[in-house]
Amino acid sequence: MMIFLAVLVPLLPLASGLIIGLFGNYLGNRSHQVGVPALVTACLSSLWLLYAVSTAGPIHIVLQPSSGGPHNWLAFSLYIDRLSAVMMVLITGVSTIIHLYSINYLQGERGYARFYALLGLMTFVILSLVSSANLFMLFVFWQLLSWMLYLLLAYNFGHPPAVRFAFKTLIVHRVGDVAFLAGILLSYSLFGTLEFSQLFARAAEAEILLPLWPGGRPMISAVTVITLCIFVGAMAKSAQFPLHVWLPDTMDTPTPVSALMHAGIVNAGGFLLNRLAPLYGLSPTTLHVVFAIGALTVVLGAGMMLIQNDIKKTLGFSTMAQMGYMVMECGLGAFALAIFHLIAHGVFKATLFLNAGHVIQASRHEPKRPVADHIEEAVSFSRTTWITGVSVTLLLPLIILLLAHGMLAIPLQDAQAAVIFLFFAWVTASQAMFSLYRLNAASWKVSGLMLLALLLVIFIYLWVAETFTYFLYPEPGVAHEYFQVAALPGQLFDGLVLVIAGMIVLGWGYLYTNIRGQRSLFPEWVASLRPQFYVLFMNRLYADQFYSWAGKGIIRFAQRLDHSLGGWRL
Amino acid sequence: MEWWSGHIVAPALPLLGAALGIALLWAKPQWFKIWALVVFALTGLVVTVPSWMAESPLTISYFLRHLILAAGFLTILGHHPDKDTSISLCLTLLFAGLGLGVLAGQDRESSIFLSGIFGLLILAFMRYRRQEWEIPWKAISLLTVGLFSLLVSLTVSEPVRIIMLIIPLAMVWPLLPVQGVFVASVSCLPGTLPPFFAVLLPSLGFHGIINLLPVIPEGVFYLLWMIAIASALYGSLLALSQDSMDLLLAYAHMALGSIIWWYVSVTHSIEPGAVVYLGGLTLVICGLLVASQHLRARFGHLDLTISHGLAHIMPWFSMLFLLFITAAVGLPIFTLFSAFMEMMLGLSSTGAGTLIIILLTWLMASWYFPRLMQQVLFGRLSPSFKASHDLHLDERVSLILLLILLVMIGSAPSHWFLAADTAVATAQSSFGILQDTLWKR
Repeated sequence: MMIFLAVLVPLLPLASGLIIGLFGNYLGNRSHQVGVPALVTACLSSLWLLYAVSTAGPIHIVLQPSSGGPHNWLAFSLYIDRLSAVMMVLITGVSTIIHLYSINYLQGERGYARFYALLGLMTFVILSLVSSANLFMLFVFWQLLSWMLYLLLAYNFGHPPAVRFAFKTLIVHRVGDVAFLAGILLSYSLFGTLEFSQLFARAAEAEILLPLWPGGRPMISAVTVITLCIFVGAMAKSAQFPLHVWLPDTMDTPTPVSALMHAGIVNAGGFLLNRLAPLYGLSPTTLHVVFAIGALTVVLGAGMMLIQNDIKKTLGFSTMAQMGYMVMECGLGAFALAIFHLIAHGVFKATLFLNAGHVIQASRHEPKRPVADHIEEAVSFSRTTWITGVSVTLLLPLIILLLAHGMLAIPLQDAQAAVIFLFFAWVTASQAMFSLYRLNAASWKVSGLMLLALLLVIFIYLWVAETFTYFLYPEPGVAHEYFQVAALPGQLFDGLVLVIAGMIVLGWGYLYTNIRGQRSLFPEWVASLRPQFYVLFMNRLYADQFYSWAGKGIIRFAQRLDHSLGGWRL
Repeated sequence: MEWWSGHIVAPALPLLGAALGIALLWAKPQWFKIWALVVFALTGLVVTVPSWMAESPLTISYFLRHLILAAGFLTILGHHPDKDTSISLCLTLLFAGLGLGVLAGQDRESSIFLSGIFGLLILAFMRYRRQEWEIPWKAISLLTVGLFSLLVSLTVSEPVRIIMLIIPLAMVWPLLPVQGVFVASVSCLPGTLPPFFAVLLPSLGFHGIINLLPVIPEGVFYLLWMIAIASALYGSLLALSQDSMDLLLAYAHMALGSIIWWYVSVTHSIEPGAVVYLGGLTLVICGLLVASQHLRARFGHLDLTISHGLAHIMPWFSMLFLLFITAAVGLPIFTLFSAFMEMMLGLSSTGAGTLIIILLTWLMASWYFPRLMQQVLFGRLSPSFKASHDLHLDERVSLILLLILLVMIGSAPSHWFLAADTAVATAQSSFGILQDTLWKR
């Protein structure tokens, strides 16, 4: 029964996509009558599968066995453990909602059937990706995902910006794909297998060192090189800096596509890191790089989000920042937390995008939209709310430092995990505080909400997320091991917490003086930074211009080469 | 019986078919097309049935013969008759006959048949030279050099002989600096010839290299390795800068085909992955060139610097073109992907620098092919195109069959590849005998 379910879940969207693709002309505006039932069934089946896998253990289904010998990489098999099953529930759930939403949203569109066909095929590709049992199969679907995404983004193929940005997305993703391929080639040549279980076991057996330069020294761990190459693939899919440029420009697609992309496709990077967690757990260097890239992406994504004036672009940059968090969590060894994060993010981001579609539709009919509520922003300063915000956001860093130095004993399953979780709980809580303050500063209710939000965030992180960690990694010591490998040096960790705490305090200070019209607390150059950052973020760090310049440069060089060869060119 | 049919009847049938076509059907292009299809089908039967009955092991040249015949058949099937139909069909049959002769012949006979192809190409370029086209003239010069090399190779001994043989092979399976013959062949000739040449010429070059492999000195392998790397980069860059579809495809073929040259020069052998890759690459470019012919028949030369938006009016064409581009950028489920993976994973070790260049070549394909697709299919539709129609049934069928072939070759079961591996060892046969490499797929 479990095997039947495991095969049925990806097959249903595939069948739906193929049927609609082949008979689209006949089905027309009734295409959803094929797609929706298929996805609802797939969603229910994946829920059942999750239950079955949780109680009876993982399933391994060999679809095409390896022939052994020199071609043992050519094998197709499904491996569904708790991680895959959770992802399958998320994917089929989000896809079902998008199928349902699009019935009315895209009704009457010329490409209605094409949209449903692509949606079904895309769902199949992601489901197959998350249930792959080896790197080869995962890479097959990883590449197909890049291509399917390109086709979905080019849905409005008559609209030049949509086509241009779809192309840009494809190029960025292919860069990631090629890096991923390099990682696969290296891992196969060194370990002789692409099957996950064998690969992890062989990589853990003995450390292989590779020369960084042809001379022989310095040497670098082979696992580090492999994981870094594969991480570039994850960076492209999850829009990590500097491969983030595709994500914010993909808003010319229909809103359901945006929802699917932001709630599902960008999570592929997080899934990949989780699936290969045993490999990543062998390389602290890679994990530190992952952490740094994630942290950088969070800061830049959030910065760019703040200055957007387009609802979908705001959400796009928000996704980039959230993916940064997710990757950062992986870099800290909190792999399961990253999955928890991506599920939570997927659900809320899909909701926001689908709602954004309504807002955009409404604003087309209502000239007064968006409602000019900025007048309400000029609220009077409330000392109580401000003090609550400052103290509440500073409470957690204190607990973190005390816990990190063993001065506080919290009865959790894993003290290391508690530190990481608290760190994220604090960052999340700080964001909530700032948002609440900005919404309505002068209110007792806000102060109460701040406290409630803090408690809620701590509860979720400490209990729900930790429970989830031990759900995904039930073997004793596994999650703990990842935390240990990823642990930053003690002083660096303390320093990071202090720097971020300092920045948040300064933020509150800036808020205080700004609202009261006092700038005396900060020197003039601090105030002048704001417009500079504004311009920088408005221009998206000039990353797009840089890539455009580089791309045009290559084409110019090629044309010059072509031209300069003149009579000799053939 | 098998030897007789494969070595004598198979090359003779297309030559005979061309002669009969010229004599009886020159003024009836539609009937000439049907006749050419019949000739290709008959030749296919002549090649297949005796081997099948004799249960002889499959060989690379057996595979290449089928590849050429399938490409010829499907190219002609998808061709829509025009003023050049008779001459292009006639030339296709002649080239097919000579090509089969190269594959079937031994040392000297192969060289003579290849000289025949070069000579016929010179005549074809003379017939289709244009004042504004410099390319045919350069190709004619190169072909003359190629002919000279082939003739010299018949009279000298090794190692000069090897060099003299590699030069014409690098012309048909394009490598720097003699890629001009191939580029001109797929971009300057009319009708069915360009897509057919995309399969025929590299197959002949590949076959020639198989026979030369055991005697190529280490130094020459090193030289080939460097030239292959340079050709891959050069082809990719030139493909990126083209505003003509045929030239883009020619350079893309050169860039991606150089990967096989590189692979052969590194491994010093012909692995099954390389054979499948060659089949996949030639069929992909063949399919895209057939599509290019369909567009030219309807709209003339399409300038790739602007978007044409043909997806609005040609859904069938768009779908098939999209699938060919999917195959060309090396995506599953098509042959190019699996063969490339097989080649790369089969390498025991290679330098990081070389690997980066090869992966860069692979990546560049994801740049110029999708860009080509976007310019042809996407964007706003030009008002002058509105009256055009989608593909005819025969055009559609030929492209669909080419796609099916692309999937079939690439998704062959893994034990086929394993069997091929064990057979490859026999490729190290002596050069003098020029024995076919066993390829037990």
